[in-house]
Order: sequence, then C-alpha cells, then structure tokens
Amino acid sequence: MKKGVVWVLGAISVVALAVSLYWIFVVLPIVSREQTGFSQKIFYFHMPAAIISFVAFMVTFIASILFLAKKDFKYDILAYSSAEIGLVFGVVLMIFGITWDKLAWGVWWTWDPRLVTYLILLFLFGAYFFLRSMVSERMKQARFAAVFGIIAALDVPVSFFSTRLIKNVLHPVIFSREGFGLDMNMTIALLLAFAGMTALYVLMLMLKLKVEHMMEDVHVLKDMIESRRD
Amino acid sequence: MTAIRQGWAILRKDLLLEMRSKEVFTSQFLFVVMAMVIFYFAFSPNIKNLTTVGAGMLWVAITFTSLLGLNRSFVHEKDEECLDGLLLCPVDRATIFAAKFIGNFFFLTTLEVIAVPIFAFFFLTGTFLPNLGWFLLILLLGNVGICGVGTLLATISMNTRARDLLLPVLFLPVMVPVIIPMVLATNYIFTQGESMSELSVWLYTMAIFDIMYVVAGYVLYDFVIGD
Repeated sequence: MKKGVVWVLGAISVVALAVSLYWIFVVLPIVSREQTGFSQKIFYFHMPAAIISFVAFMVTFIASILFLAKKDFKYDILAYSSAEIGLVFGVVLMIFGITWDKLAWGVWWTWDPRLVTYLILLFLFGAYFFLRSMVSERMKQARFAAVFGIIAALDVPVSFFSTRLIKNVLHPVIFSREGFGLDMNMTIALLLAFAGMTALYVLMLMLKLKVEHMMEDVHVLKDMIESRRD
Repeated sequence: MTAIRQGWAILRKDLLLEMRSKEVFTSQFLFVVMAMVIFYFAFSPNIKNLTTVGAGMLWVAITFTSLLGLNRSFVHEKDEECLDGLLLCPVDRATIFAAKFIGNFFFLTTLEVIAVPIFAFFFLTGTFLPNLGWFLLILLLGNVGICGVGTLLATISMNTRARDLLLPVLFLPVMVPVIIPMVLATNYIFTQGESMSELSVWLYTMAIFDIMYVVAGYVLYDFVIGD
C-alpha cells in the first residue's frame, strides 16, 4: 500500500468534512419548524453515515461469497474488517438518529420500520462477531462467518427499501423519480459530507486491512518459531 | 432418485429416534403450554380481551419452542459422533440439509397441531374460523422460515465452542423479517382486519424470505457441516 494514498484520502476526508460543516452551520439557513428546525442539520451527517454503513455491509456480503468460492483468507479479512467499520458507522448513525428523534419529535425512540430494521441489522452484525469469537479454528471460523455474513446481509435491502415499501414512515424518500427533495446549497453540503465520509471509510478499511494482514503474518511467524523450538 | 432415498433414510432415522424417546416433543409441549399460562398472567391484569394480543403470544411461544427442537436435532448427532458417521457416507451435504429441514418442519408442525387448538381454546374469543385457510397458510409459511434458517444456524452453532448457547443469538435477529409479517398477518386474522390487500403484502413478504432462507440453507450447507 502506498503511503501517498493514505495521506490523500486523509486530506480529502478532513477537508471535505470541514467544508461541509462550514456549509451546514454558516451557509445554510435554519429550516422551518415543520421541517424540524435547527436539528435538521443532523441530516447532512446522518444520511451519508447510513449509506456508508450499508455499503460496508454489502462489501462484507460480497467478500463472504468470494471467500466461499475461492477459499482465500484475504477475502475473509476484507469481510470482517468492513463489517467492523460498518458497525462503527452504524453506532454513530444510531446516536445521530436518536438525538434527532429527541429534538424533532420529543422522543428518544419510535418503532418506525426503518429504525427497527436497522437495529436488527446492528444485532445481526453483533452476532456475526460473537460467532467469530466462538470458533478458534481459522478455516472453520472464516467459513461460518462467511455463511452467516451472507444471511445477515439479506436484511440490508429490507432496511434500505423499508422507507419505500411501507407507508406511514417517518423517514422521507429523498431521491425518487420525481426529483430531488433538496435545494442547491443543501445538495452541496450533503455531497461534501458524503465525499468526506466515503474517503474516511476507504481510509479506515485500508489501514484495518494492513493491520490484519500484519497480524496474520505474525501468527505464521509465531507458529514457525514454536515448531522450531520443539 | 438416490438423493431422495438417502434423504428419506436420514429422515426416517430421526423420526424413529423421536418416536421411541419422545423427549423433544414432550419438553416442547410442556414448554409451549407453560409459556401460554405465563402469558395469561402477564397480560390479563391490563387486557380484558386477550385476542388482541393473541398473535404476539402465539408466535413468541412457537419461536422460542422451536429453538428447543432445532438444538436437539443436532445435539444427539454430535454427542455420539453420529455426524462424523453421516459425513463418511456417500451422501450429498445438501441432501442432509433437506432431510433435517423436513424433519424439523415435521416436528414443529406436529407440535402446532396440538398446541394451536389449545391456544385457541384458551385465548381466542372472536371467531376466526372463516379465515382458517389463511391462518393455516400463515402457520405453514412461518414453519418453513423457522426450520429453513434454523436448520442451517443450528448446524453452525453446534460446531462452535458455545454450542447450543449460540443458536438464539444467531437465530432470533435473522428471523425478525419473518416474525414481523407473521405476527401482523396472524393479528389480522384474529381481529378480522379490513382489507385483504394488507394480508397479501405480509404473506408475500413471508414467502420471499422463506424462499431466500431455504435456498440459502440448501446452497450454503456444504460449508457449515463437517470439516
């Protein structure tokens, strides 16, 4: 991995997120009370975090299938690294979400379909790591995790489309065929936050993969030393 | 043809075992009836007509009861190392899945044949008999979902350090997309909802997840059984 790429990605995420913060708090006006007022500003970080976490879980899904097809551990490492980062984004998203709930609707939690399906998704990937910790043999661990990762990821489209399929949902559909639910300045702020978070995800994934590959190498070396000693 | 014969042999072995010992059925039956009794005391102080919460009670009882059966279907294979013997036989892994799935489905359905009338006798006041056909379809779809994904996940958890402890952790969140439409559709039947289109949405959702989970189990079973 080139060091330059890390720096470039880091710079993109810092600059994009900083500029998007400026846009959100300085350039954009506060929306009307009907559109939840000042707390609406959470939206610009809330939605990108949601999409990144979905993408991260889909990466796990694809990497799990590739692992089962090719039996190469690099796909297993990719699968759980992405799941871990997805889980981090998911928890951050949940914190944004419940804060916005409280400020906009006066309650911490509502049983909205999107919230429920997303919460279940977090439980699924929590269970994914619990399953991993319960198997010590490396090959078996990777196989079981891949199978469970595939099943768990079947919930991602359900969560994603829940605002489109079920009526009476609090989450609005932002992008639809009728057009875009946002004006120009809002779109800029959203896209900047989105670019920043995407760069952050890729950066975190690259660093995580590097660490995990190093750990695999260390395990191999340790085993070699053990066998020499006997 | 051979696959069907092999699958039948495995299924027959499980049926014979259960018919002679009756251990799983007895414990499941006692569990499900006790769950209903507890539900009665939990809900009756505040809710006059228990039909309104009947759907939730029924499916919570059935889902938790099914966990007992799913675990047992692999524990006895593991204990006497029967599984290794089974894997040494020239049988396709997918056939083992099919046989285990049908076996679990049969046991759960048998349990429901006895438990659901008892449940209806205790709790259901309004008549749901005109919609009995739909109700049976919901039970059928629910059982397919529970057993399809349950057979796969029970095999996984049985091969880990946590063994049967892991199954609820894996099984319950995966089942939620089936449980939600199951409860809503059953509630519709019990309380006689307004429009038929509502019911069909939930039935489709269940059917889609059933197909996804059974196909996933059939295809992925090769990776979770044996070494």
